[in-house]
Amino acid sequence: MMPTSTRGLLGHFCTPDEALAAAARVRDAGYRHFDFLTPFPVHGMEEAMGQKRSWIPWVTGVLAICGILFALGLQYWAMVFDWPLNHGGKPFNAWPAFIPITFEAMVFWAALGSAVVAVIAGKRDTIPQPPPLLVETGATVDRFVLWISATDPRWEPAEVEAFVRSLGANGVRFVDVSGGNDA
Amino acid sequence: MSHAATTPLPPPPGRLSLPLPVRAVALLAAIAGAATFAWTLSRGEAALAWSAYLIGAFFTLGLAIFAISWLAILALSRGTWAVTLRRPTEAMTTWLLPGGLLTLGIGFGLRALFHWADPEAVAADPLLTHKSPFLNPTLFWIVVAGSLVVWIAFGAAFVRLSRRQDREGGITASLRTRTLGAIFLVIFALSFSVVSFYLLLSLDAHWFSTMWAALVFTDVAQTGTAFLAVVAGLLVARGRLAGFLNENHLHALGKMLFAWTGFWAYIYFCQYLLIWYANIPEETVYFLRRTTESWLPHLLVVTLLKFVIPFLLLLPRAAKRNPRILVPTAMLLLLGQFMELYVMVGPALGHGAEPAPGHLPGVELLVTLGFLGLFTLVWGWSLARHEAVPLKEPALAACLDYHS
Repeated sequence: MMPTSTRGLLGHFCTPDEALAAAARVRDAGYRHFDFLTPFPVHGMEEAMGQKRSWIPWVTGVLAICGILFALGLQYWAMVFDWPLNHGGKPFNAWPAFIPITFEAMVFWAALGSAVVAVIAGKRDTIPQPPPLLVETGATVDRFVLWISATDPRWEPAEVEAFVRSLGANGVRFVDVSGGNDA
Repeated sequence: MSHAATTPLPPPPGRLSLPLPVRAVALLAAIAGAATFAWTLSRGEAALAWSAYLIGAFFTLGLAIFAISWLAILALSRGTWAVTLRRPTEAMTTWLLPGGLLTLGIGFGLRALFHWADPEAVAADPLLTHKSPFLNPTLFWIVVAGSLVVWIAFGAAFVRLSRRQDREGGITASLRTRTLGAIFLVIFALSFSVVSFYLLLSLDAHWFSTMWAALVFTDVAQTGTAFLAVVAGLLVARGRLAGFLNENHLHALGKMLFAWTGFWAYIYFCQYLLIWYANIPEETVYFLRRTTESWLPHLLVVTLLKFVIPFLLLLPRAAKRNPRILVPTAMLLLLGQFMELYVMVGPALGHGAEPAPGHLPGVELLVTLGFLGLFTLVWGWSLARHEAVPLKEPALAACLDYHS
């Protein structure tokens, strides 16, 4: 009998290719609350897990345009209206001189803004029950760890365990709140 | 990654050859270009004819120069994603020999193009006299021809190593290409800079720019990548090289094109900003002529074609992966390169007297298309001589497995 404190099930794979194949099969089997912990970014994992494209590039684009408008506006206002100065006979609205600052402001707004939004979104958009920290330290060394959360609508302990074993996973085990092995 | 190593290779695609209509159009363009050049010369418009010749010769030589430096850069950076595009790139280097000879043909129009090639003008002009130890026809021939010989030798070495790998397999050829590539890039950076001074910068013999070599290399790289993007896009769209070339490779190529487009704007504006800001007469003369009256529309068209439009078109991920968007965008960039060369060459004619006014570059375009036609024929001939994909390259599996 499995304790109610069970958080989910994990099993690991030894190669990125096995992990990709397993991810596709978990996706096709209809599981939604699952994740892969890998030692390095595995190319093609998003498609294999059935994840949608990120919406964060739109944030980056909007922030970049805001950065451009802010920098151009600030410089134009300061150099033409608020404190016009004659620099070597150049016109007050010396737009070529504004370009480097506009470019930098665009990068600054877009990059920092995207990073902040990505962190917030990462907290929000993750699966309801990620694996406890340090549950499988192999994921930072050489293991590709599949995690299926107990919150998954299709969660049925015996069935999930048999399924993950059928994928060829090693070290399949249930994980409880403490991150220990309770199977 | 290696999961393709466990899956069998797709069936070998055999050899690629240009479709007959493309060959016919290329041949017609070459004939029309040659006829236009001869006709313009015979009408006594030597400056116009030779400027068109210079634009066309440098446009196509740039494609070959890009190809050889791109092979070296990929070998050094271990860029495995482009393995299936290697043959089209190698075929581009074939143009170095015929294109180099045609470029040397500029020597016959030296007096029409370059102020410094006229001994009387040099004697009357202290600045040109001062620069004459560098800007003289003898050194022009030696440096340009010498650089071409070195590039041709390295290009041939890269291609020969690739062929040997086709026969013998193994990694030795890849390693040797890497070593040769490192040596080549150092020599190339120096020789290409000086050749770009002779062929383009010295048209305005009084003027100078420390950004010049970087700008011209960016042009060459952007245009060469655009040519490859056209080729790769058409191959994917027509399903040739299926299993070897897919939208992931297009995406990588599109990102490369996008990067060069951003970098071009950076370099071009860099040159403009510093000259505009310092406002020193001997520097501003270059942009004064190109930003006033008849040349301003041309400069604006260059900016649109080489930066604004391709930047916006290539920004979405889907655009880079879709040949229907990537190919037309790359073609716009090729047109942009022609316009930029026209804006480099055209206003410099007239040798400091009354500058040539900007016009619709009809003769220039026809002659450039002629060069491009000839280039395409040589490229297609070279491409058809070998297997379309280097099947024994050890990095092929990684290339087929590439995700972008």
